[in-house]
Amino acid sequence: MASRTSRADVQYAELHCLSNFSFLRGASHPAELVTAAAELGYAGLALTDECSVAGVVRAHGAAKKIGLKLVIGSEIVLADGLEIVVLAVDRQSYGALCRLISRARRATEKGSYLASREDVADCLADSRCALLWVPDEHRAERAKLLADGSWLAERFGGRIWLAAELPRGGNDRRLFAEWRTAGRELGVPLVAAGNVLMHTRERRMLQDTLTAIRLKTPLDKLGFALAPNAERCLRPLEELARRYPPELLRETLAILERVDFSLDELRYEYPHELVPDGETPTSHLRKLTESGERWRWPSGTPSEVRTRIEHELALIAELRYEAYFLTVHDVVREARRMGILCQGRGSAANSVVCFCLGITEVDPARMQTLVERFISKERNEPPDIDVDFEHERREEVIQYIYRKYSRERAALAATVISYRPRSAIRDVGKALGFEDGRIGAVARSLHWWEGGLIEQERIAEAGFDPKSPRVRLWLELVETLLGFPRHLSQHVGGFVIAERAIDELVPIENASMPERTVIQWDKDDLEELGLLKVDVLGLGMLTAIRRCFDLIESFSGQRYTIATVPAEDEGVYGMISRADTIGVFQIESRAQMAMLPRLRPKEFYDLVIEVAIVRPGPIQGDMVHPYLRRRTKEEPVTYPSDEVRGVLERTLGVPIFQEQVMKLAMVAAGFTAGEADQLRRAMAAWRRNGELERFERRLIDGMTSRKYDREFAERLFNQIKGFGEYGFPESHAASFALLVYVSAWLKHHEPAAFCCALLNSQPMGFYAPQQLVRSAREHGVEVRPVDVNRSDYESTLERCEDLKPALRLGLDNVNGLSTEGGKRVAEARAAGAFVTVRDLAERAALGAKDLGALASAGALQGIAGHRHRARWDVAGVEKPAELLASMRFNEALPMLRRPTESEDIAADYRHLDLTLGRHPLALLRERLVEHGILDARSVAGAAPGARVRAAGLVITRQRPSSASGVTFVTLEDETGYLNLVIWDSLAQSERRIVRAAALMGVVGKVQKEGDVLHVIAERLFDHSEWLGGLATRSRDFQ
Amino acid sequence: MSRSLPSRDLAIREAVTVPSFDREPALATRQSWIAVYLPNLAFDVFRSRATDGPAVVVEPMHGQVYVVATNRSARSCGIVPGVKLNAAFALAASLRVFERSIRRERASLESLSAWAERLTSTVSLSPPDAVLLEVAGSVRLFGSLAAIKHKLGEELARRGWTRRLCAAPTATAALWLARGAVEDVESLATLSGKLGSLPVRVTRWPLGTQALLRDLGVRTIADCLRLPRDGFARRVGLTYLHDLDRALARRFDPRESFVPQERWSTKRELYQETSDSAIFMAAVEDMLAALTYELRRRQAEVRSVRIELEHVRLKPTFESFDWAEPTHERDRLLSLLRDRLERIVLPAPAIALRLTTGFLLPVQAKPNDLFDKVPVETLAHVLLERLRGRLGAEAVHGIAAVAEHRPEFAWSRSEARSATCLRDDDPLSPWARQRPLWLLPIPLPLGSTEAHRYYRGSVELDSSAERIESGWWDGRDACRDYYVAQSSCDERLWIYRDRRSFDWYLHGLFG
Repeated sequence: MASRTSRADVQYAELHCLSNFSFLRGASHPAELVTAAAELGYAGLALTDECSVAGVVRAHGAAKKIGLKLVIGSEIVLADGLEIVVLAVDRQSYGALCRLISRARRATEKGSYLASREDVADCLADSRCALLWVPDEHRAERAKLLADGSWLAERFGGRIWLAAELPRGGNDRRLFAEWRTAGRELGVPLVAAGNVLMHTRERRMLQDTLTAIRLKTPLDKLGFALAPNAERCLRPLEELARRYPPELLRETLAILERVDFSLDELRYEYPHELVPDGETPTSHLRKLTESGERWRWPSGTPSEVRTRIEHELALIAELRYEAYFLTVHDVVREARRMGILCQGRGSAANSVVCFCLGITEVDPARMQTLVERFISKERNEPPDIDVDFEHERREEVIQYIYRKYSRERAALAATVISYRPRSAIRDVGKALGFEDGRIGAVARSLHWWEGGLIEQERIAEAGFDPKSPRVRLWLELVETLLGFPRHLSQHVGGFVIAERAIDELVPIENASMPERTVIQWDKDDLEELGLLKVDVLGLGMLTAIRRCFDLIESFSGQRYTIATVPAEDEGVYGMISRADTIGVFQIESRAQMAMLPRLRPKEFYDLVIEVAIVRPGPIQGDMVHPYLRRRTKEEPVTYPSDEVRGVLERTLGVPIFQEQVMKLAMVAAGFTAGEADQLRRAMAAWRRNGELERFERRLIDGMTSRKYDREFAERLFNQIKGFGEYGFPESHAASFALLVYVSAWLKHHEPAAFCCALLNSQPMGFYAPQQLVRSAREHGVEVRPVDVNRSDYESTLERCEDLKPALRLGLDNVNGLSTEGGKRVAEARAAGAFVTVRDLAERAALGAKDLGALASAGALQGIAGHRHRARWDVAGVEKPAELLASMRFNEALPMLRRPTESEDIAADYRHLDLTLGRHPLALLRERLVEHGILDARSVAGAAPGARVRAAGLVITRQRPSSASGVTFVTLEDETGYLNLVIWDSLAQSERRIVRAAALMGVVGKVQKEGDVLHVIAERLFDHSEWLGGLATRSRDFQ
Repeated sequence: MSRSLPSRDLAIREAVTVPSFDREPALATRQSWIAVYLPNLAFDVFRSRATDGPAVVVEPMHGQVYVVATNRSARSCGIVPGVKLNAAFALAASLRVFERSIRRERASLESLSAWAERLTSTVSLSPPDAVLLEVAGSVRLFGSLAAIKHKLGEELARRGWTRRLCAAPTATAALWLARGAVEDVESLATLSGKLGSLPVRVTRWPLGTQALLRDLGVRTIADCLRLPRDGFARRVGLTYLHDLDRALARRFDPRESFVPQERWSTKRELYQETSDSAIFMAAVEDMLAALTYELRRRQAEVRSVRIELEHVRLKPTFESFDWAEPTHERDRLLSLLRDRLERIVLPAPAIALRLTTGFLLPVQAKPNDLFDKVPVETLAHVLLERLRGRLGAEAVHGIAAVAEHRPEFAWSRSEARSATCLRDDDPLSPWARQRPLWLLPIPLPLGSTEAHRYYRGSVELDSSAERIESGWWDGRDACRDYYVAQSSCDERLWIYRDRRSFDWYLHGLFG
């Protein structure tokens, strides 16, 4: 037996270790590996994920906390099968490693990599990085072993080791002897290593499961693809001492000592081209800010604004963030030059400097209450500016960034896609070989807001026995798998721009979109390392607003910008308070509409609150009702102390914004700025890791010791918990509120242009074209039908006799019409109106499908008569190339019945998704009346508490996460809308109706709160068959 | 060339002279068809496996899974054919799901057709869910159409299938009427009226075609018939014009007759009870002569044969014989039968023998060696047949390697169809390493102390450990360290130590 060695005698560092960032291979989180290595008494640990450093920032954070030496490296299997592990020993070799990974990743499609010996030689030759050579234990042919070894020894002599990884496959002795001989012959020393995939043996089942998921094969069919044993874990030192000669263990320390590199050394250097020669970043930013001042305040900057500017500039200079502001300014200026509307938001975006630089349009003067929302010196938190661009043109902005800084210097941040309950249930279930349909039933029964808990009831409902060992195994594995990274995806728009090649900072890999690259770190990693990113996001409403401005300009010559839309218009606030907000940014949702008549916004800051308050955070944190009561003076506004008053005064003593929560923790519980920042992060992630609980004691004790009463402290903590990841920062709300105001102003004053712009920007928002058009008509807009002789491809404005604009629906509303076909129609008409169907077909070169679509949509009314006739004519048109093209058939005239009104309406819905005819329910009204069914207007007139019978087309269904199982359904009839509240028990027993009915009937109780009316459903009916062939669609949201 | 155009002559003639369907003359027909429409067949074929709860049959289409048939219980939950499986689960979480089986449906139609041959000689399959019977000749035999329908209905009820039966002078019309749930049409005179009231969907024309007709305001067959023929052909398609013509007996409607798969059977009475195998063999040889004659006549082969020996007071004794490949050769048939029948032990003397073949298969041409050498494979087949004949089919099997880390599961029995040898090139496979060929069916516990193990004397470990930890998912998790070992009486052993109990076991012996 091997000699007994005490732990103190042995020293070891694990140099070949993969985490779960080697997706579906490694079975432990980076932090778990670091912690376990430290607990086992290792001298150090190398994290060497396969062709990746995606997990190193997390390992770095953990290692720093514990004080374990972390080495950064990567395992790479070359195309010819040669396997090496590259370890970074200094900053320069880290750069070389990143370059090698980038090259291998970019050589092939997303998710895989391809590296040749040349790549390795090219990238690593001039660096000092250490290499482990991992010979194949299964194909130990001597000749190949020597050939591989001598190739490596020639190039990397003195910094290459043969990794002796003894896998206990029954031939360890033989392997070791072979390696030792080969090592002697080649002059390559041997080093002990573990090829580790898990931090403890207990992860064996999960590791096998990951293999099954990766190979998409159930466990019992995997055979030799599974690891034969659980040896690839971090092993205790005693065991290592028994299995390896001491010199092999000592060699790990020798390598570890060579390493003198930590991620803390990475420094971000800003692009130089932002600052002209002769200027410093500080002087240049000041210059730009001052010229912005003259643009914003032509008659002179108000003195208090001046003071703030100086204050902000000083802070920026002190923290050396100038280049960041210059970077964002450059992107925004270019977008403006290209005529792309944009708007910044985020903590730094609503500074006066940003207003001067044109990054935001939120006039600080408009937001008296919004001060000190700026970068915080104490918190050392990098500034945060997200810029929204028109969603259809964001790509142009991205291309500009690539052009300006080149692909080598600009890249998108990654998003780590992790296992959620549903995906974990599915993948583990498949690995265990359960039936697909059953797995799906369990997965679907899970709602993500249930916090990942799987109820036994759900399992049983899907036909499983929750007590059976296999099912228990399933659930245990799912629990461990939750939060495991599955792949890297691209962040929605977070750009990292650097002075030098990014691939020396972090590897770059291909994204799934062609011509897109992402770095291997996500936004949390960047934040952890203090690297800055610029968020380039897309926002549909900006597209619609820009279109609307264009339409108004070409119709009346008046040019608006976001900044010049007249502020604080009373009529606009009146419309908003009536919840007449279909199509308006943000406040058009059902929940927002229910809030508006209660909140009755009167000024801009009310909109900021409105945007932030109807969010899952404040709703779950129970902040809405106290705020409303205080606003309507039903409840006195009180503060437990003056400090708290300072934080909460502008929201009447109720915390509504994320910033307020952090500030409260500081002033009331004595948190430092850094702790408050940790609290913010814990809030965002507590559902995932429960870290928030750590702060509970700290917060409550902190507050009680400062003489706040315990009840207040506990309430605050619960509010924070409810806030969770959905807390909304005030700085974002302010930017959004501006777009709310602008879009509401346009809807109120320019309803035709507004509706037209929305139609042309579809799909976006909450409502379908039918509701947008209906709302425009209610605002007095004349809407004209699609007509090949009048419509352009997109919807347009036409002049009415009274000179007001009318909305002409565009050909793009016609379902099934090709984009090219639609555009050709508009072009060909320039030469004169179409006379016949054949004329249209020939001049616009339309195929049968396009013609059919036009005819069915009623767009040929003018040249071919009613729909059925038009369809007949169109179906008879041969392709121009047809042999008999010139011949006119002497056809008998068919007997085609004229479509009835309901057929026309049905066809409108089918082919246009909207009708200008009567509402379908108007046709059914007689029948509805016979059944005692009231219309929406009559329901609105009913007394609170009255039981009514109503019915309508289902236009939206919503099951918001904040409403604990309540389903909201909006019904529409010819007189208006009706909002139903369906409690969970009814929704469960009438699932079919709730999910599928197109025409829903309801018996329920009227509930009124001020002007807000709901019907609490008691019974539901499906009257869909009354609609006949009418296919209406609901927009469903979860 | 252009599918939507009739030949020009036809188009112009019709355009000028026969603008409407109603003037097209009908063919004289004296046929009478019954359509057996099985609207829920996709589900009915699983009826025996479904329980009372909601159950559906699904079919994948364009990457989605759709419900194509349901039972009553699923319908009461609101699940109708056409919804996605996801949606169906939302309506009933405890749903039983069967994947659609075209094969089962086909087999059901065939079995119904085979049965229906007792009613008429003209039965035609109309997959996926109908059978058509031409019964003009049978009406006299059975008295009336209603009597035939009654018999059919009884049979279908016995099978438990949802059905709709309709009779009409043409096959197409009968099918359409059955789909539209309209009553029988007995004469040509009323055919177009009855058909006319049917909605277009009974035709099952492609959805695009149906959508076009809907957009033309055409809802019923009668609406179709009102349209000008040429215009209809040009816009909707000639195929569909022909369908209408066939339904209305204006165009021949030929249907392919169903031909069932056959077995062949013959019987020999022995006239007195006997256990004498010589008498059996004489009868068997006689029957085989008849069989080979029949096979030659039909150009057919068989792969299996069943012999039934009848007893006076007991249930018959069955013996089944399978050949490795289909054959029609008397010697080959005989040798296998003789091997077993000569040694058969009967519970009682036999009084009669019946020979029944499996399905008759068409002869496959086989390459003949010029010098009449029998290929090795055939020899192996013959050997296998012999061994099976002697030892019984159960006793002979092949062996195959299974990719599995646990040694006891790393091999399996396989069907001994042909001569294969055990091969495994996978370098990861333990077969490529040091493994004994002889595994004990149950590992044998060894005596051991802290440092020693004993099996017929002391045992010395001779290799490094092979650690196997695998199989947790099926409840037979193995955690063992295996060693090659040498016993004091010079046997090479394969032993392991269980990592949980620390006990030692002998698992295999090297040859």
